Amino acid sequence: MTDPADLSTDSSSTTEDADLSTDPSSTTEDADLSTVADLLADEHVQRILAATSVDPKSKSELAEGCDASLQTVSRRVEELVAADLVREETRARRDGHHDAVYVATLDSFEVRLRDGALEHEVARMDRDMTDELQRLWRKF
Amino acid sequence: MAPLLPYAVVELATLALAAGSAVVGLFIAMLALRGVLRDRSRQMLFLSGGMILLFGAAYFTALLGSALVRFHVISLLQQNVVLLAVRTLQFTGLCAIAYSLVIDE
Repeated sequence: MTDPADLSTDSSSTTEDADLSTDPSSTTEDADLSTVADLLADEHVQRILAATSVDPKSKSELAEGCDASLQTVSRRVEELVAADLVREETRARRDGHHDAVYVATLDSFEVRLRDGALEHEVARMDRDMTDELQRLWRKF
Repeated sequence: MAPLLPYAVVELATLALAAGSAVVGLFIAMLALRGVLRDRSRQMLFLSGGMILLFGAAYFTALLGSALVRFHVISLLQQNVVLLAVRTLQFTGLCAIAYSLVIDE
């Protein structure tokens, strides 16, 4: 039986290039399987991903919505950004300053056992203008 | 009194801006249509329908009306019927856009 700790060394990530013009999701070079799996197993991470998949959220909004401390949320968000599962954007405030907000980029996560090795693939959402229009229109 | 701008310039600018409005409006309609096809969104269905009526159908009807008047197919009085059709298309389009705003998805 494979030791879970060795998964990262046994696994290989796929780096197929998706056709962005026809497919809403894309795959890029992935973080380690163990890194992504560990992140996804975390309850706070699941809540952060769920919340940021609908609307861009700031760390304080996430802390409030996920019922977690700002420190915890901040740490998880940084890990998600490093793993490229969440993207940072800026949102203008009424006073002229900007807030950092976060948007989930994860679309799906797939693990396959092929020829004695675990392969994993993280498909990422390629949000386009149609998604932005739908998101904005829903807010009215 | 001499006109502020030559008539030809005014006519050309009006035509260009009308065509530009139709292009931009139909571009937004196309984005909304992609939302309909992708997510079967009713909100996007009414938005795209409204934009097509407001900018596409109304523009081409007005254009057709002008062409018919210019080539003496219809009289200036009959042009009012075309104008009524344009206003009807615009009103229906606006109603569809307004409805898309109140749909709860």
